[in-house]
Amino acid sequence: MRNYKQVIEKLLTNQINSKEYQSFSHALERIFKQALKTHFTLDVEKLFLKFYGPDYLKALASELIFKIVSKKDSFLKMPYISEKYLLITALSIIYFHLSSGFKIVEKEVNLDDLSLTQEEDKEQEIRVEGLLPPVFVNFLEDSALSHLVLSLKEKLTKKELETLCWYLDKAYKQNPKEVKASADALYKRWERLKPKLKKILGEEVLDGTSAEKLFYVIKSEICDKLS
Amino acid sequence: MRKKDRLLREWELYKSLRGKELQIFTVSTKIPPKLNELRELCTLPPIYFALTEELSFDQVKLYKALVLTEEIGLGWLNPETPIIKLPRLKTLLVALPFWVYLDENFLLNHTKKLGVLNEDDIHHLEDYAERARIPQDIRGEYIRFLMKLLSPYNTESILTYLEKLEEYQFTPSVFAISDDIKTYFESSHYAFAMAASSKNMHKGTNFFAIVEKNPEIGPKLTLYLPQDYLGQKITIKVANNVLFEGTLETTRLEFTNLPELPDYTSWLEAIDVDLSV
Repeated sequence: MRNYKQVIEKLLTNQINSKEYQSFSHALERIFKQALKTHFTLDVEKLFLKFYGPDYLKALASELIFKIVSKKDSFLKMPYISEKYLLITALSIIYFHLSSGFKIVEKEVNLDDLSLTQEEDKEQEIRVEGLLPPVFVNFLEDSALSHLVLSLKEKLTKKELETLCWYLDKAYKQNPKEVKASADALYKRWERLKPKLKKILGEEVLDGTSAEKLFYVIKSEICDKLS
Repeated sequence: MRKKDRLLREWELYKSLRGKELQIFTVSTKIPPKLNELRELCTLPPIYFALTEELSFDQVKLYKALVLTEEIGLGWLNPETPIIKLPRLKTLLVALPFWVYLDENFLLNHTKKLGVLNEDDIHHLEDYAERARIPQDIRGEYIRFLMKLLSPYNTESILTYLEKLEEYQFTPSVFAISDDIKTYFESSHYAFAMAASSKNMHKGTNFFAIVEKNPEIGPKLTLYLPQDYLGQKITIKVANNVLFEGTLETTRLEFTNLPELPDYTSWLEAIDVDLSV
């Protein structure tokens, strides 16, 4: 894997030439493309396109350069800088925009913002955010629910998944799929499944998340796919 | 392809970047830590601390530092999870449900000051850290991984593991102090001690003690003991009054039914923990 140590060192010590800068910037654009594709959804990518315009990758790359400069002490001392460090920083920038509802869109970042004198002079007050945009909360909730449902899929047997779907359909008054078992047997299977489910789900996972949302994720990811 | 389990992907990426030990660097501009500050630990990926309490003993200042992270997907537990936005640094942080104790030199040398939080927000963060439960899923795995990474920097070697990590692994042993001992101290000179410090904590030679005032159960004493005492017979005394005698089963002991004292500093200093021969 490519080591970005040299180019970042040149960037941080003002020794980078424009060709190297361009090439580094293109690499960062590719990293953002990868970050959006593998860690986010198509909808999130569309939001960036909508709010930033077609040059959104370029704008994000310049923000990543800004973040590298802001973490100069760490980046300069890292003996090896793999692409993964840049990828994780890119993820953080994407989350930042998602949480701001794309209201903090800037085409250019100002490196002067990092000047030490400003940093020392300014007693910057930091606040815990109150209301967060639904697009952000929904994305995080969906990530947690998808993970939960995929764990269920992995940890439960086919018979147990069938029982879970039967119970959920019944509870939500949906038309349950045909299951080759009597209602009595299904109830017994459900009772046996409950403690196992409790262990996997854990009560805390569902804090603040609607049961209905969980139902629809289980339905679409598990029940509808049961043959 | 868009992998459905985004959390797993985020966790795999994070793990691949972290060794078993934190690689921390020294900051170029050292600013002494102060209460209520938000600071960034000089490591990659970075870790953040909100300093919510300042404790002084043995001429060393110790800070209770709530931990925050940029790993949003892994750190976000529910809509109650506090979020901090740093627009100037294009950074978003989520609070994690645990804290560590760090000394001022560590904070001075390895962390960068980012700004100051107001009292309300500090209480909000503390409240969350105390209340939120660590889930059993991949996010819990991430949180416990971070706890382990930070544990060597938790100033007191006696606190080998962090409070919540212990809570996860072992339930503390809880004992009620006998009414006789309680009354004895309430009528002793300890009852007239001046409130020299409101912090009520003490580091003994082989223990670390904290008294917390809990409105529901009254004051509670928590003792942290060295791990190598586990399974050994010990005696815990306060000014020769035995609080506990027996085999140590957990490194954390809690005592309730404490004498009501205006200040516990000298009472805590009178604690002795001895290994029975």
